Amino acid sequence: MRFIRKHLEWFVFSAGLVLLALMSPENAGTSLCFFDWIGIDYCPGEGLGHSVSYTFRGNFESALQAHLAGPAAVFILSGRIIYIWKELYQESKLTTNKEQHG
Amino acid sequence: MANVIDHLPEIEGDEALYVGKLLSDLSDEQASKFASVYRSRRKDPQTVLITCILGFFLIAGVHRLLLNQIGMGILYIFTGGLCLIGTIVDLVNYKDMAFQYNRGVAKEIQSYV
Repeated sequence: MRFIRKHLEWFVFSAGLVLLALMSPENAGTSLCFFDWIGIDYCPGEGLGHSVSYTFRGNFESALQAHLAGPAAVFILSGRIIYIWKELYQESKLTTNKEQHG
Repeated sequence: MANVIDHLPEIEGDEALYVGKLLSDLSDEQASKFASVYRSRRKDPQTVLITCILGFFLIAGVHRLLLNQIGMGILYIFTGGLCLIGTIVDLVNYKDMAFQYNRGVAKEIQSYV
């Protein structure tokens, strides 16, 4: 449980980004939106998935049209993922040092 | 040799272990100085949890702003917590997020004391 909690955040974010990078933005069938799954029609993140998907394909104009925050989301999320990795690396270095010194 | 129970009785779990290790190198006077600064700057995991739950009803991302992650906070506000998915993830690991922030605070204060 502890292991899952520690790695959940970066795993979910990067899985989302990879999924959206692989999915075609023209595909309207699937949705990664939780509001949609529980049956609420309105979502402030409407179009974010398409926007991120367009960003990965370099089509910034369509990306901004789908959702204004799409390109920013890619950079902010990647920054956050890298930050978490850095923290985890430093933490693992600390614990291995401790083991070596007893 | 200062004890974490004497100086910061309200903290628990991983945080108490971590701060206890830092305090063990300090004198009693230094430890009480550390404790008063740390107490005013640390974020309570419960506050993080409550502001995270706000994301289901009112506005998402307040907890991220609280933990000084401005970019993520603004992204959450404009996307409804990444369509609720981000909010649910944070609901699971709010304790670790608060600890991560508090660890940074403790490290910074330790360099002053």
